[in-house]
Amino acid sequence: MADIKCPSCGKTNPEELEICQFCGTLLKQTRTEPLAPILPGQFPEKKATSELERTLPGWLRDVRSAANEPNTSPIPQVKVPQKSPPPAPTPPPPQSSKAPQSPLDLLAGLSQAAEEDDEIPDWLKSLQGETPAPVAPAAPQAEPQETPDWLADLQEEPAEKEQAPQPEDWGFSSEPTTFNFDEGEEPAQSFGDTPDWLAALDMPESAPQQPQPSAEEFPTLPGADSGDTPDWLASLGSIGTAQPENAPGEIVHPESIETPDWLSSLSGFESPSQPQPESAPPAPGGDLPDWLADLQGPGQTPPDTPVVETPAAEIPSGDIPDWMSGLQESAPSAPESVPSSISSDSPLPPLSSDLPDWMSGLQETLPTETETPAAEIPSGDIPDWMSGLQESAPSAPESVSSDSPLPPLSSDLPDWMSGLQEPAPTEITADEPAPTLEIPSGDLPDWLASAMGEQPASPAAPVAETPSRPTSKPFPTGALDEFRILAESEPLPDFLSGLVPETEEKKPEFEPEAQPGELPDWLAGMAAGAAASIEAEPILSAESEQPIETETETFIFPESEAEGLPPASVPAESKTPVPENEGIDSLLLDVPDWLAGFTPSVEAEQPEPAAPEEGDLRPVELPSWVQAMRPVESMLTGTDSVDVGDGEIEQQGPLAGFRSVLPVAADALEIRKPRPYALKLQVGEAQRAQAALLEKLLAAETESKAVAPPEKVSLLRPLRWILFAILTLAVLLPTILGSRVLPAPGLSTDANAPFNKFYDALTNAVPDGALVLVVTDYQPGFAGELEQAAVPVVAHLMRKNAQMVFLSTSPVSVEMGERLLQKGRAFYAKNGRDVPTYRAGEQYLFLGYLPGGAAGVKAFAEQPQRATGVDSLSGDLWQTDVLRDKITDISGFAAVIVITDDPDNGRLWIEQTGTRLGNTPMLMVTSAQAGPMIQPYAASGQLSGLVSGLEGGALYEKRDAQPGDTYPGHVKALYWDGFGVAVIISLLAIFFGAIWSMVERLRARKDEIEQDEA
Amino acid sequence: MEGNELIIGLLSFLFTVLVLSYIIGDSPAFRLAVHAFVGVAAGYVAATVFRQVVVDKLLMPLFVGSPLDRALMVFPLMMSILLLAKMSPRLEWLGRPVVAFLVGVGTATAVAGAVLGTLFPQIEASSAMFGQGLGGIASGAFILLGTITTIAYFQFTVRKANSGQRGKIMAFLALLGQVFIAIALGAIFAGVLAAALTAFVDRIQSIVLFLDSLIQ
Repeated sequence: MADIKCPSCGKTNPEELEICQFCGTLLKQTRTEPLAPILPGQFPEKKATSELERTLPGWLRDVRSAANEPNTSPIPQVKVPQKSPPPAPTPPPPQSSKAPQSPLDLLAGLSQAAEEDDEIPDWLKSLQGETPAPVAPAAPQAEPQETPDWLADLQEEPAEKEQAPQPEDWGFSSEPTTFNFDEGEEPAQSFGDTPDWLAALDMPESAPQQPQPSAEEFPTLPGADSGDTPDWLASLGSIGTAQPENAPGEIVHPESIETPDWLSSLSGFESPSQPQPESAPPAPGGDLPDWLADLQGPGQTPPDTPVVETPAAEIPSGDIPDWMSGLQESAPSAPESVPSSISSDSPLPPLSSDLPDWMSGLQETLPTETETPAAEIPSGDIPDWMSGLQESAPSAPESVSSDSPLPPLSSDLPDWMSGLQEPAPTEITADEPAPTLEIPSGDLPDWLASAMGEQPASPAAPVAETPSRPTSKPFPTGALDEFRILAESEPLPDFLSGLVPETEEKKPEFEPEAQPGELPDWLAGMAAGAAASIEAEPILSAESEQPIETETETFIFPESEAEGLPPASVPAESKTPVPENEGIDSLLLDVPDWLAGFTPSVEAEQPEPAAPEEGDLRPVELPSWVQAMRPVESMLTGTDSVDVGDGEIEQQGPLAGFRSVLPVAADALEIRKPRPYALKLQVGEAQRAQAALLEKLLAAETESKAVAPPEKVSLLRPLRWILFAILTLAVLLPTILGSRVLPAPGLSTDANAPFNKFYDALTNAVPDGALVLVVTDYQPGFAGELEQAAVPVVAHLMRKNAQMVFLSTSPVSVEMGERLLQKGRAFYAKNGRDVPTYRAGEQYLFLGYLPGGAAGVKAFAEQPQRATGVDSLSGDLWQTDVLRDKITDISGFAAVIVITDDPDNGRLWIEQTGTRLGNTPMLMVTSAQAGPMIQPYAASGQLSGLVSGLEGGALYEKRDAQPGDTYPGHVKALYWDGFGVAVIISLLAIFFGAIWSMVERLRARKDEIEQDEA
Repeated sequence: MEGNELIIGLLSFLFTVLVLSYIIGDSPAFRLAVHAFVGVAAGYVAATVFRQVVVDKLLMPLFVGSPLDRALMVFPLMMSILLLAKMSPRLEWLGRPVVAFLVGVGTATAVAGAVLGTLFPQIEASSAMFGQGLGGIASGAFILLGTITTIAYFQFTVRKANSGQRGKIMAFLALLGQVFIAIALGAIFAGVLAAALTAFVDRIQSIVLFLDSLIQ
């Protein structure tokens, strides 16, 4: 019973246990545990098949377990027991009993994957006659095998003879594959058994009397219980049919094993026309090379033989690989080149109907070709060594040393195989080497030709011990070491690499002499194995059997549950002939899907994944099954190197790991998160500088310019004082001295002079005792001037005994009339005249303040009584004797004298009363400053007279002087000289000041000019 | 001299001296005199206006006047009260009609007077001078020239597009107007000077007389 190795502690546990008894780890992963996702930039890692067991879906594991129940052995692995005799060929199971072919069978071997992955497809391994073991962990092989498992199995002793071949082995039919040369031939053996043709090859060594297989029979591959085993393989198995009951190493030639005719012909089997479905495989004749003779033995795989991880591929039925077809040629001629690991008693599993092209080429007529170490076998082309077999077969009848004649070959057989039909096979004894075929040398591959040619001179000891076999080649064949050469020149695919001898340290004990047609290592190993088996070496135990080691790396099995899957069954034997012109290429192209998913781990350092850019997408986590499907460079090129010269390896993205990926646009694959943009206004340095400049300009506009302080004149204050003093003296001295030096102004003779008109109007228009309106609209500050100008007028009115009504539009000038009257009285007193008595209310009255500005004046002009109202203290003044029933409007006054210092007031009275005055003269006494502004009105006739300033007063005093007046008047007496001097001084000051300013300006300009010129 | 006259004289002399102290500079004496004058004037005005306007022209007719007078005083009274609302920011809108009435009436009176009392008569008088012989023509022309040039000087809207300056004709007229304006301003300055000197003389004269009266 196969034990299960605990994945945690590594200790073995019985199969029935589900939990490790040592550490408690689940031995059988019932839950799917996908592999860790591969991030972009990472490369798939090398993983053992056992690790991938739990990656299979549960349903797959269940199916596998169900399929394995009747036959608990996993996918049969082609094992190459070292020292086990070829088992006796076992009859192929009926087709009906075969397990249904299912692709799941391909995954049967996952659960029992050994530590060392075997990259040889199972179908190939089954050719060695390995019996698939039950569900048991793959035990590490004791010794590496140099020869492929499928050949090694041929030499194995059926340690587990009681183990029936698995009905379903990775697609291979348990029935021996036949080439359908004859109808009714028995199906090929199971995959686990030594193919008949291989068994038949061993018959001359172990059982020369083995019946020759039919021509249509081909050795069955292990697990090929579906009956798709090519006949040629079944026949091979019959030649050296696996006999589980036989001791390992014995070459059993069960007569019941059907051997293909072509293979039987290799060993001197019966003619192809003599189908012998149950006949034991013909004993290998003397013409068969030793290695072929070894193949005749039962190739039953011991039960403990570890199963190789690699599942078997579905070899199309009828497709005989070329190298297999070559076996027919070289079997009788190079028995010594058979690798020792080949177990003759382990029949090759029947090939499925989907044999690769290279196997199908065995049925074709291949052109004769010498050694051709091609990198890859062209598809559809049978190697020369294979083709030579058909051609030389008929010409080398004597090379067939098998007891039973070779089965009749079909017309589709290669030439080298067709040659196998002619010679009468001789009985192959156990001691005799595998029957040899006389194959034309030109058709045989070199390796096969050399093997056949040097049969008697084989340097290998085991080979020497093998029974002599005819070395002549019935037809030229290619070199048996074609594959090795092929591998050396260019790496072979992994599943074929097992066919190539491994490294030097794995070479068999004996090395065939290097020759152009040197046998491949696997065949050399078979020869050695055959020799060893002849020496009755103990059959290697199941534990010592190791799966065929390959030079390639282990593959990562696609994510699928391998547990419980029934072994892949070889497709049913196809009756159709092997398609022609199918060589290694077809073999390569027919790589099953499960094999395509193998991705060897890359031992080289994986480049670190590129750091995601700021804002990149999250790395994609690929599912495990996708990861497993991702090809790796090493699988294609057979190298572990990741760094290649002719193309960069994609580091990221879904194509990580691929080489020579078409470049894309630099930014096409860049998936960046949009850069976040701030809401703030983005300005550059230049823009910021310009904005700052604009702000400065705007701020400068609002700022007030600093006004340069004027140059302070140092003499300004003293000059003022001097002028003040001068003026004061000029005024004071005359006043104190009472001088009257300056003459009074002269009277104008122009009657239209305003002064003359004023005096004339006041003299003529105002009768005595008339009512005169006197308006005092001047400020008290100008009283000194205006009183000097108005007092003579008032005195004149007093001399005329006019009634004066004082009115004012200024509230502070209401009582100014009183002052005027008072100064008039003094004037007369100075002159010694009688001063008339003017009493208030009788000769004069004050109407008070007239409000409203222009409107008030206008209102007074129209209705004086309503405009002035009733005095609260004096009563109604309009009812007094002065005004009673005299005034209705302004024109009722005999004259209107306006005394004002403001020209606007004067204009106001003129404008507002002009239309209402009528014949009433409007006289105006103004200040000297208002005179120029009022004079146009006097010139226009709107004013009847104008007296302006102190000069006017002086003139009016002069004009109104009465004879006998000694007092000239206040003006003349008190003010005129002082005024005169002050005016002169002022004028001089102004004059000299102007001159001084002009000189200074000229000098400053001159200095500026000089500075500019400088 | 009577007592009143003495006090009045003395105060007059004092304030005169205080005001004339400004020749030295702005001094507290000058400020005292100025403040006194402003204060007295404001008080006198307030008293005068209140008595002669509010009392005599508003209250007296309302209380003492005839019914017709009273009826006629209602409108001014209401307007006066509404005008007082201008003192309150919330109620100042009540005085807006009154102010509008006052401004409107005053403006109308002023404009009418200016047009009828100044503009027309002046134009008539200036034009009449052209019919008074050569002298009148010359005078009229001279006056006309002065008037036009002075007005041209104050014309600032007509400017060249590029240089922003006037045309040559307008610039010449404006120059003549400047001359007339200068002559007019000179005459006004002379009058102001004369008035000021006269006031100064009067003040000096008053001081002398006061002192003379004191001496005597």
